Amino acid sequence: MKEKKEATETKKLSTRLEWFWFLFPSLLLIVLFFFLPVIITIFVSGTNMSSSTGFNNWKWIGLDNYKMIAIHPETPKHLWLTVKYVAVTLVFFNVGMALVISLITTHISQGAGFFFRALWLLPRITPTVIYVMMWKFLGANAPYGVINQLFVQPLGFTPQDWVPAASFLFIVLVNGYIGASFGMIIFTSAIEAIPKDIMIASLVDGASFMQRVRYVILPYIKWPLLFVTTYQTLSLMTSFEQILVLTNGEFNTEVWSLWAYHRALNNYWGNFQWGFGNALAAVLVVIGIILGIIYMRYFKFGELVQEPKIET
Amino acid sequence: MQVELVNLTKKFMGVTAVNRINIDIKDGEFVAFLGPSGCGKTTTLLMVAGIYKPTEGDILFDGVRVNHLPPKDRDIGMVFQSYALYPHMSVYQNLVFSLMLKKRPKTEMQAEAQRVADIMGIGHLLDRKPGQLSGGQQQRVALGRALIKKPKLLLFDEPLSNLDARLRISMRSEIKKLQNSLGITSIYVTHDQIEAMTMADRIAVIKNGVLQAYTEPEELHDRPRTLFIAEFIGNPPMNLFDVRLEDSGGKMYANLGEGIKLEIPPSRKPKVEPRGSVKMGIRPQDIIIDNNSDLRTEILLIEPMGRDDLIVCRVGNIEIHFLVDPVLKLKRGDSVGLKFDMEKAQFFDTETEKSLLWQ
Ligand SMILES: Nc1ncnc2c1ncn2[C@@H]1O[C@H](COP(=O)(O)OP(=O)(O)OP(=O)(O)O)[C@@H](O)[C@H]1O
Ligand SMILES: [Mg+2]
Repeated sequence: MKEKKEATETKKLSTRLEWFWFLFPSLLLIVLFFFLPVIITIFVSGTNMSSSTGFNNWKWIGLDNYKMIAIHPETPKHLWLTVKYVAVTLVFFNVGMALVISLITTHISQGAGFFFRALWLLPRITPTVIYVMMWKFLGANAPYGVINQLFVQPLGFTPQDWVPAASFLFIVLVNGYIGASFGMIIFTSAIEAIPKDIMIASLVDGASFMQRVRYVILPYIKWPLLFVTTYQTLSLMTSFEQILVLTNGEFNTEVWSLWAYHRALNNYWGNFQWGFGNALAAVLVVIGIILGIIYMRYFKFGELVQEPKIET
Repeated sequence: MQVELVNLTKKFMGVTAVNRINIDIKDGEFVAFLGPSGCGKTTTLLMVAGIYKPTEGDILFDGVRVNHLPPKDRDIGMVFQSYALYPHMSVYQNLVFSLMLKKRPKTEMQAEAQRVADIMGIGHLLDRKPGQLSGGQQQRVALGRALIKKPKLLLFDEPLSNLDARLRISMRSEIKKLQNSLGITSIYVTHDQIEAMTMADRIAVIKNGVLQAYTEPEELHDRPRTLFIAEFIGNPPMNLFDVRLEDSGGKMYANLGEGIKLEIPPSRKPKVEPRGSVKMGIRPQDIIIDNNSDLRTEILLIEPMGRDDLIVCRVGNIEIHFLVDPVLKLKRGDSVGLKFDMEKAQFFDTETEKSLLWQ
């Protein structure tokens, strides 16, 4: 009796260890490339490390960097811009446009759908600098800009330099056109994976296109929707290279991550405030985690996760 | 509703899946589309449903051309092999989905759901999700979802193929009874000939997109017009022999070779002048053991089939299958005499594969 119990205990233990070894490679990656950087970020954010202190003369200053963020006169401006930029790009492009493109291209002929989607992928495979340059030419002042040449001047309006004039619109468009292609690929494959019989059944049941989207397709692609929304929120919050190339944060386009970059690594005065920059980055990490949790609640993540298919 | 398919044709990028099919279905009739996999049954059904547009030909409902009517305006209900229930909706929501889309009042939806739930015996399952139901229960829900619209035409695409053998048999008679009592015109796609034979008023046999025959089950079984039908219909399949027809003394004989010569009764004399040798078919149940017969053979194999045993034996190069009563307790290696019931024999032209008896 006792032996048997011991045997099962050993077995349990070995199953548990099996799990560990299966997860080990990914755990290692996560620890190395996520947890360590986060810890280093938080660690540095508690110091006054900067180019003037160097790596030797820095001091612990506790939460001073965070206090500084809290009272910094530019904080509200950057924060509001970031919220606006992430929300608008996400809703209208990275999720919204992606969804619309995948819905349309899965409901037209296969060839046309494929062609249209391939077109949307072009910005993603174009080097960022070239891609952003194209936008710059698009909005450039007369006599160069495409907008000015093709629309504004022929219609008799005064030409202008469009990037500063509509800077917010430009950063949204520049990021949105690239961002949409990611969701587009995920949503398209998810929509195409819906069983054909289900689609036929909904047609026979009398669902119009919009009704089918609402009652059949969207519930079916809830998982990819959650994934793309979360992933794109985080990536919009943290990536800034397009804005860096387009405006370098001028014309009121300094989003939070760009602010952190400028403070920590690249600014006019040459004093790189690593401590303060890292505190700014840490704030983004915290916001990202909070948003992730909110999304999971909203999409009822618990219901989406199914019981394991195989019992162990 | 009366349904008519006229020269119905569907091509997919140059490949002809359905080729000039002509079928008329009477009001309240139960018609089966029977044929091997890939012969175009589903394609035809989906054209009737309005999912596919015909490349050529017409579909008429009660005499009205409906080629371009969308599925929702066709008054049809459809049942699939995969059940195709909406996985994120409860059974109740699945049932009333079509009513909900039409924005019917809640009380009506509840009453209708109750009505079909009673018919299908799924009242206790209304709150469950499809994933929590057995295959048979899911198919009942799917049937209920098709019925709730009070359709004028029911389309079934191999609805029982995913169920186990027992359930299949009980569902078979249940669907048939239901169809009978509701009197809804039905098209039932299947590759299972027993299903088609037991359920349908008429069977359309399709091969490679071409209609081979469209007639009553008995006719199909007793008077097959082509070799394909003869081979395809009937279980276990018909014996087919290459024979030479010989006249002697005013009587006609079928010479199977290996010294087997069978007299052909007048009722089975080929009506068409045959060219050279012909194919003779005879069903395993039409060959009986007769120990006075000159045709003697040794049993090679016994395959129990429940009610009968299927016996395989060989005379020279000719393999013969026939059915015997298991109480005879025959064993492998036993020697038996055989008698062919030539009143049931079929003859086909070797080249055209058309029947020489029924034209
Ligand atoms: N959407 C399509 N595009 C191209 N070819 C198709 C399409 N649908 C069917 N076909 C082809 O048409 C032929 C008939 O297909 P269909 O699905 O009607 O067969 P079926 O009789 O229903 O077979 P099964 O019993 O296996 O369901 C097949 O050769 C198939 O490959
Ligand atoms: Mg099929």
